[in-house]
Amino acid sequence: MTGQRSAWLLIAPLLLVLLLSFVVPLVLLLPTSFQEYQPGQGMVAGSFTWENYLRIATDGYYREVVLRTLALGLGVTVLCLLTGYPVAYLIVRGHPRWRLPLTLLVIFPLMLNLVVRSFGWIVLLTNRGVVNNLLIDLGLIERPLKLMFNMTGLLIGLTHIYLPFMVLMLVAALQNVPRDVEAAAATLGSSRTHVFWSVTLPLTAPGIIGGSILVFVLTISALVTPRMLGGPTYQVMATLIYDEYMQLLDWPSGSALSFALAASTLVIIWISSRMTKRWAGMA
Amino acid sequence: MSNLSLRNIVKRYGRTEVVRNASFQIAEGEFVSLLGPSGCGKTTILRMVAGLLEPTEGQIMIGEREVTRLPPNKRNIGLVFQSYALFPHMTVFENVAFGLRRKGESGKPLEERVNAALEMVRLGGYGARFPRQLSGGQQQRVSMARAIAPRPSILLFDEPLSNLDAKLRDEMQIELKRLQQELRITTLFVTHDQAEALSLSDRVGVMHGGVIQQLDRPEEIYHRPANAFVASFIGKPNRLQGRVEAGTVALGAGLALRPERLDLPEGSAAEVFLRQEAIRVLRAPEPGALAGTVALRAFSGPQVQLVVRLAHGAEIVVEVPSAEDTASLAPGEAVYLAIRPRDIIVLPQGAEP
Repeated sequence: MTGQRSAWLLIAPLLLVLLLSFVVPLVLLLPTSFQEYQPGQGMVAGSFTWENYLRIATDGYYREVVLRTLALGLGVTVLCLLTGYPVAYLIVRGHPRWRLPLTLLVIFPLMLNLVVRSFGWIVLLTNRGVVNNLLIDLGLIERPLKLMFNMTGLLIGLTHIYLPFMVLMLVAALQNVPRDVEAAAATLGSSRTHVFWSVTLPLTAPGIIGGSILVFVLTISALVTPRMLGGPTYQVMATLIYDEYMQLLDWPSGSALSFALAASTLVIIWISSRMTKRWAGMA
Repeated sequence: MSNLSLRNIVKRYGRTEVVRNASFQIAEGEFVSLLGPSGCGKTTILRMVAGLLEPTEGQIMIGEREVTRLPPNKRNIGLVFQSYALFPHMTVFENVAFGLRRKGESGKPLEERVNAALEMVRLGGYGARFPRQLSGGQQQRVSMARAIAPRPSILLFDEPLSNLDAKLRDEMQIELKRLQQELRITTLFVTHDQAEALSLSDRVGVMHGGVIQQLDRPEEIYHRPANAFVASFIGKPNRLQGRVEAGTVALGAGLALRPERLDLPEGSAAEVFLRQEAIRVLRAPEPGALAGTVALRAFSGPQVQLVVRLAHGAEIVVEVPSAEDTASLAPGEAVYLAIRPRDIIVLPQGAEP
């Protein structure tokens, strides 16, 4: 019993902070999301409506933003995984001399302010930006590519920003793969490639799923970068929620969107943790 | 199945030589152990045979095929690790099937061979379980089944019993012996446990400092150690200093031992190795027995250990079965130690560690 009590005491501070700063506001927000909104007057007191939630699913514009956000999350996650795995593999399995420089290189972007990094991408990606100018000067293209205010820009910017998280998760997972197990597969007739696909990759599944959840959740809730690289017109859910609250003062609609975003996040985390267990054969 | 031969194998890391010019052959179906303290290079040799390390110099042949630079997957070997190294994400069945699938086996024949291998290590019916649901001993048996199922030409063991507790280790040792007799696969076994090496092997190679000191039948290793290292590493020997005099080794204070074999020149300094278990303890004098007094007595269940101080001051440790009358000898009492001439091992002094 003492064990259990001290366990509660140990997590109490964090629990309290979460309760006050997260759960309570969330519960307060819930009724708001069911209230009617009259443009110019604000919320209608004592009203109850499903309209705010129905609109997310039925209204073409909202639906497009939701799907775009999910597609963006998926895209950034896949890109981070594909580009991050080789880097993590090199950090863990490469020459020890390269470990520190590579790790620093991965972490370095985290030391820069988010706004600065996003501005950097704007400088690179705009119509008269570095990338387009270079390509035009080289004669590879005639007119500038559209790299901003669309999915391409957001994918590039967000992948860059969230790659470190993915790499760090994968490094931890790869370090946990026993070399003997890989050697065992090799002695049993597995080529290097087959060892990777049949042993290394499945054994890093927890890291892959963990990193993917992290990147996905961070991506679909990202505000600053999508706003800067997407502009005022190319909206994702986070920027839309921001606008509903701050520009239109439509709190009910913003709250409903927030809940929809949180709910879809939870569903995705749940599904992927089920997938890990099935894939890695671990409980 | 085929023989394994190593020719002048050298492994260097920078300037340190971990294995120095190792050459030996294992005949088809033979069981050879490499025995030595940690860091003696035995595991390095095994990993080079497996293809997990590349030798700096020399050649490794499996049968007629040179495999020195081949990757492990092209060598047709089975390796059993100290850490078991099972695939945690696969069932026991899939673990054992892994090597067979790589050889293109599938369907009914695959199933039969996996089950036969599991049967052989007495784990039939465990196929659907995951490694983490098994005990250490069971996991090691799975890893043996996994190694033997694809019928490798060479079987390698890297300290396979070291992670098990003492009781289980004895059981597994018997299991291994049985398996080896049934399969007769050419086997290289690496261990630091001499009882394991001596009881399992056809021949034992004792290693020290990257050099194979002696490679011979277990009886030879035990009774006729080639040098001081082997003599002091195997068994629980007492070491005494002496000088060769007229067919005996004189220890001082009138004490002398008459060994069966004495190849050293008259008058040279000699080192005598007497195993604790080869010394008989007597209460009454006997011709050739060494006189002394009991200095210490320690009871350890089946055995009693006596520390006996000889007339010239040197101390000898002897083991007496606790059922013997002499087991009750107390410190201060006079004793006589009788040693059969063939159990007296004499080597030149100062040759080795």
